[in-house]
Amino acid sequence: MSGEAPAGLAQFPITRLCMLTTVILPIIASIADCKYWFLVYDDPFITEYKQYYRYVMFQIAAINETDVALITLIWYNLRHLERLFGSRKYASIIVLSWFYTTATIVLMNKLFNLNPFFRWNRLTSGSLPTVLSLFHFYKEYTPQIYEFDVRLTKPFGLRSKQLKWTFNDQFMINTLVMIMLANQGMSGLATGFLSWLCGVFIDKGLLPGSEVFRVPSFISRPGHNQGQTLVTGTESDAADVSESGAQGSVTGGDEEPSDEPARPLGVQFLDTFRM
Amino acid sequence: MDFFQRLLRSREQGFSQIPGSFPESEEHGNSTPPQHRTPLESVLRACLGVPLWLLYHLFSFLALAVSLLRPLNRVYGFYNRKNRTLSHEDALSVLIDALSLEYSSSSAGNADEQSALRDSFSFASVYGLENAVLSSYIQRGYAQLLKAASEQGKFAIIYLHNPLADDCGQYLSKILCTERFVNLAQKYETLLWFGDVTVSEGLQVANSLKVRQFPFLGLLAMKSGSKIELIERLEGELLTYSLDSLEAKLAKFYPRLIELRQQHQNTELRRLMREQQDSRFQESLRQDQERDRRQEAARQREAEERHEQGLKKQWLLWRRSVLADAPTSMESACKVAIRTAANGRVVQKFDASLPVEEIYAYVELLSQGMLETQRDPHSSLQKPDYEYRYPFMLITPVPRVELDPQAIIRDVEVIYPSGNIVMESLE
Repeated sequence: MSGEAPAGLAQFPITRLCMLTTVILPIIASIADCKYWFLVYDDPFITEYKQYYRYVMFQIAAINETDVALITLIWYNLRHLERLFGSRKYASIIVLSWFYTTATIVLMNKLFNLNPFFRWNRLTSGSLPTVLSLFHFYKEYTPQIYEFDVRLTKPFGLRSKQLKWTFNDQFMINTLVMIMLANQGMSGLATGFLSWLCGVFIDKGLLPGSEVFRVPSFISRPGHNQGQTLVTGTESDAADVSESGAQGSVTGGDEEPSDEPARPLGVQFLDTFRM
Repeated sequence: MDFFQRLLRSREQGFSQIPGSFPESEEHGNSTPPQHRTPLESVLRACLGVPLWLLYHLFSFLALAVSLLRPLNRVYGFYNRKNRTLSHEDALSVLIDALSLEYSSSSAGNADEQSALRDSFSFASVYGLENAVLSSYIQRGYAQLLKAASEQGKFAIIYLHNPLADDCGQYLSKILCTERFVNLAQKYETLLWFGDVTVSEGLQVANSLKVRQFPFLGLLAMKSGSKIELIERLEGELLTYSLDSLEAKLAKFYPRLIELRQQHQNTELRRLMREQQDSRFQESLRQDQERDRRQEAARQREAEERHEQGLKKQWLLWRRSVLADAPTSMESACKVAIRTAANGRVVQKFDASLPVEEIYAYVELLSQGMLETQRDPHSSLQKPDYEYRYPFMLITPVPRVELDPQAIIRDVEVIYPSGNIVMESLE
């Protein structure tokens, strides 16, 4: 489909990091039998045991495998954001979203539990809040490319009316987010709404930092982003260029293919944790 | 679906296949014989009935929920509130304005770093849509850019702007507004187009060109077969970037482009010549066809005339053979003096019981010179299937009366028993 961002994760290091973290951490936690680290129950973990570190941990790994799969797919779809913002700004927005959503959810959880009738005990697992916050950025800055209608003529017997649904090119990520919210129940819906609001507020500047805060530039490797030149089409030859009277020479990376070279899985893991 | 409903509600009234028909009455329904089911049907009914019933109500509930949740579409409209249905021209002018603003704000921030030369170029003075240095090269839309590049055989440069990036203003001042870039664009007459990736057209271009980082500068050139090819792409953060590679590519592909342009011109010339030849051929073909058609028509007309002459001749011969002789007795005779143009005054007697047409035939045969031959009373000439029209009319001078050929001579008082007749030609 021509309306999609380029496939693959070449030059999307933050997306790659997030996807691999989302997949690998639950596996390691499962193997090491420490999945319970990523659970947050207001009672007894917080009120009784005072394990506040769980607030920091709960967004890092999802307990449920379905959530893992969904969040991984959503991270992949959000790679367009990394393309838009650039890796460093994207990482900053992620950190900001993580911070603000965690703070908002904890605050709202505490406020809600002040009422004597209902108790919001279990927080969501996985990076659902951060993803929902980023989802706002995605929807805000991604224009719709195409849309299509699905019409069902009397789908439920003769008495029913015609149903018409209009989908656009973003229906994939919309559906994934809806499934993810529904998968975690009422808690997921409420958290998702709060996180989406956080995203809106961060974008509008009500929650400060999106223009000021930047993570340290640990991702800019020398020669990686600077003057990168990729060639498609005919083969270029440096000799031909110099013969034709050009003043300079073609910069490095001229012969690189446009996609990421294949790397073994082990190297990918090591690269991920090196960052 | 009807099948399932029938299965579920078989005890209720039957379905009518005719739309608008009345349901059958209850009495009639009660009189139907009791249903006998085979064991297979009973088992199927027991196994499928409950799940289908549940599914039916589940889907009905879902459809109801969807229709009830329709107001939530307004949430979806939250992201469509921007007017993103701008035309390409408007979107481009909005983008140029935004870029000019961005450039001025970024150059104001780095005023101490700007060289005197760079200060002389502002974005609006170079890329403004009117009265700017490169206005004539800027295309209004991507499709228009591709079309112009392939038709005119020129380079095309695409700049995809990303307003969300941190340092997009630097890109403008360090690349697009440098003297070198402007000189390159002027030297190679490159066509230009700017796109915004937060607008649909820009995003489509970015996706089709598989751009992974913004801002993006792409150089397009025509390939053989009027295809467009991306020959150079510069993307990402270009802080230490120079225009060397772009210039090298332009210099390398320029001869090929010139060659393609010449090929294109040659092809165009050949096409024009072929069109002219075709039109000339068509013109001469049309003239030939017209001449043939005229000749054919003349030939046909001649044949028809010949045929008609033959028929006339035949008819006259037949008429001569049946022309009555002058009566001998005066009782039933009509004596008329006929003045014709060719033969002068002729006096002739006719049988008064004959029609006036006999006089007409006499005059015609006289003018054709066919009365000199003797009539053969035993001639077996058949009357040809032809209605002869006399090319003259017979009138009496005083009083002037036109003689009707159908009338009987005795009934026409002006010539019976004697009178004067003048022949008037109709032609």
